[in-house]
Amino acid sequence: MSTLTIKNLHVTLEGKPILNGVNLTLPQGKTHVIMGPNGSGKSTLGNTILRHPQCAIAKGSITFGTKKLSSMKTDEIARAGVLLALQHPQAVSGVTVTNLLTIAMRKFCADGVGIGTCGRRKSKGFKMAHFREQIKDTAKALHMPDEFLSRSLNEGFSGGEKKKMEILQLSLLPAKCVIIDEIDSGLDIDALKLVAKQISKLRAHGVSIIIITHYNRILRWIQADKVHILHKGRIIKSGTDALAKDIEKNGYSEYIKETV
Amino acid sequence: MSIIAPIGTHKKGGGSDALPDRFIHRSKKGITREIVEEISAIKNEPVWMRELRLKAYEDFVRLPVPTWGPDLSGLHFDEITYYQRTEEGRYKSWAEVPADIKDTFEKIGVPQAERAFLAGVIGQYESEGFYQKLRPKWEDKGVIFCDTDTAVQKYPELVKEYFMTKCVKASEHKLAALHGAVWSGGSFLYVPKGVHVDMPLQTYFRMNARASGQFEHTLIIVDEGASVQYIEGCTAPKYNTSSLHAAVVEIFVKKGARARYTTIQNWSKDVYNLNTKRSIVEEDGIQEWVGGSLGSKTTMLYPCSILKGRGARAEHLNIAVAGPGQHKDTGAKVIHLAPQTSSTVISKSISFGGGISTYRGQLKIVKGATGATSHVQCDALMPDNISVSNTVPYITVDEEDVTIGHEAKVGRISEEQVFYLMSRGLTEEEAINLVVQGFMEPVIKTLPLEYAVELNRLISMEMAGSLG
Repeated sequence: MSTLTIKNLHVTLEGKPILNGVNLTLPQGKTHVIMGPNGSGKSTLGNTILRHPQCAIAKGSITFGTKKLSSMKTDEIARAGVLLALQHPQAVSGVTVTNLLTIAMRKFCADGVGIGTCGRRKSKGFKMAHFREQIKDTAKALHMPDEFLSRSLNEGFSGGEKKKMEILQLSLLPAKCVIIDEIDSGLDIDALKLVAKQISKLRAHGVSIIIITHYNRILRWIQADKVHILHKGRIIKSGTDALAKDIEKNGYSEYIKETV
Repeated sequence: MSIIAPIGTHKKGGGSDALPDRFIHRSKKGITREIVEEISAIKNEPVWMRELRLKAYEDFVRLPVPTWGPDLSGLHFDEITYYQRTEEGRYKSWAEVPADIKDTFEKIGVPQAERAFLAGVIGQYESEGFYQKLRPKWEDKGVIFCDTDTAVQKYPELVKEYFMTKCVKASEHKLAALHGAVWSGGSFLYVPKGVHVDMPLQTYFRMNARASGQFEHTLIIVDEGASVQYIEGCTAPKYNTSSLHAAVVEIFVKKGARARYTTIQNWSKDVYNLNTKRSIVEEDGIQEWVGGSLGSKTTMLYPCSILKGRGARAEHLNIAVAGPGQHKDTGAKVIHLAPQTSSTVISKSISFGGGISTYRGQLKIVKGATGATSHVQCDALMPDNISVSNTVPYITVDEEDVTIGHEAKVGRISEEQVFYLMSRGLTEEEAINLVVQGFMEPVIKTLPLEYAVELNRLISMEMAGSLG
């Protein structure tokens, strides 16, 4: 059981201040939503948790249980169980998602975290054949044809296909906390439902979740414990999903005004 | 005239990779008519081969060092030992092979490979093939696979007809001429009409002595309707004087036949690797070239397919890796001489740490080669800003009814890509390696598994510590 704690986080991007004192506490198993207008720093927050090299921490700290993420490397953070679904996943020519996942899974196992999230099975030792089956099953659940598992990762994929691919990966690696950045952009309503279902599965398995989004439509299928509004690099308002509904109806202006 | 060294003289302190010299014969440095005659005499060659060597020597003296490519001014022909012979005899089974040679071969994976699926193995240690075996199954069907010296003695008619007579000629350029004069070892492979050898035949070459040359000659004849896959691995440990590797490969693909020639070369970083490889492809024949070029100081290698018969096809796949201080000048040559001939060239290069890789390709389609198609794709990957990638295609098309395409791309490994892969738990080095492996995948997937693994491993090793 690990709580994600962000304390007074200040982050600059190419020298420009983007986050100006973010505080957030996400207990294990809870789902928080971070909303905010364009340029409010939402993606920077997600990228900073995973220590993206462009996001420089000027002040503050990020911890996950006893681990100080703010002084760890991206791969160490991932192997600590904190994973990020990127807003713009990169294409990797000649590498299939199956390649990547099996390599990643071996790393997790070497670190002693070999518990598949999807099946939540505490297998003794990692069985590659079993894992490959899990990959196929998860792809099926996301209505992704098998060919996506043998194509170059994200190469020539549509926006929606890339997003599904991100959720597929997060579902299969042993995640304890996932940050999902703008998963709803580029997805049609049917695809969004499937993705939401997969996220709910993670939630049911006790994974902590941060959903970064512009819109609340994904919240129709995912139950959120808290909704935060990020504006100018600060959380200016926190509440229940009623807050998200209100934003959908009335927009951000009312909340943004309060801070001026 | 020659130095006779005791067998198994152990040389220590020449780097951990240095093996004992096992020479029973070593010619003196440099090349003269006498040395060429001496080589021929030691090998007890028939007169026609001796004449061929001497004629080639004359060409060597006459021809200039090529200057159109990489700088070869560090190559001194008179400081190279052109011939050295290791222990007498060949070893028919693995058990007979001396332990230190075995170690070398085990390091590069020969025994496992053999046990697994290889149909036959010849290893060339220094200048003579020292170990050979061909599974009886293929021998019974008339397949010949032996070192080329043995072939000169046992199959003189075949060798005389094809050896540097109609494919690669000694008079073409200085290195081919040198090769003709001092060649030694290599593989001879003959596949009779209609025989399909469904397991790859493989051989290894290793250059072990300081400042020595390796001039193996590989001659492959795939008769009508037959098919074969031949694989060659080459390695050399590190020494500080420049060595020369100047091999010649000649392949004859007869009507409806198919040949795949695969080579993974990992020469020491002081070797000049200057090769001439060519195939003549008859009607409906298919020639495939798969190459991975690592190591060496300077490599010049442009496998050539001459599509002579109607419907002949060539596929060239090549990976070249150029690290610090290395210059890879590689590519492909395809000559379309007949209608409906087709060719595909995929050339991949990785330059890092200031390395230079140049794709130098030639495509020629003659008048009358109607319906010919050719597609050339050159992809370069450069993870840094100090390395160089060049593309130099020469295209001559004298026929109008053809389809040709040429694509060249240069890619970098982006920070975003590395971050993406690291966010899945891979270390930075693993992330970069994965991008590199992905880049090479179209070539890697055509290799047998152990070669694919070995090539990936070698490239990771080469690049380790040079990135970031």
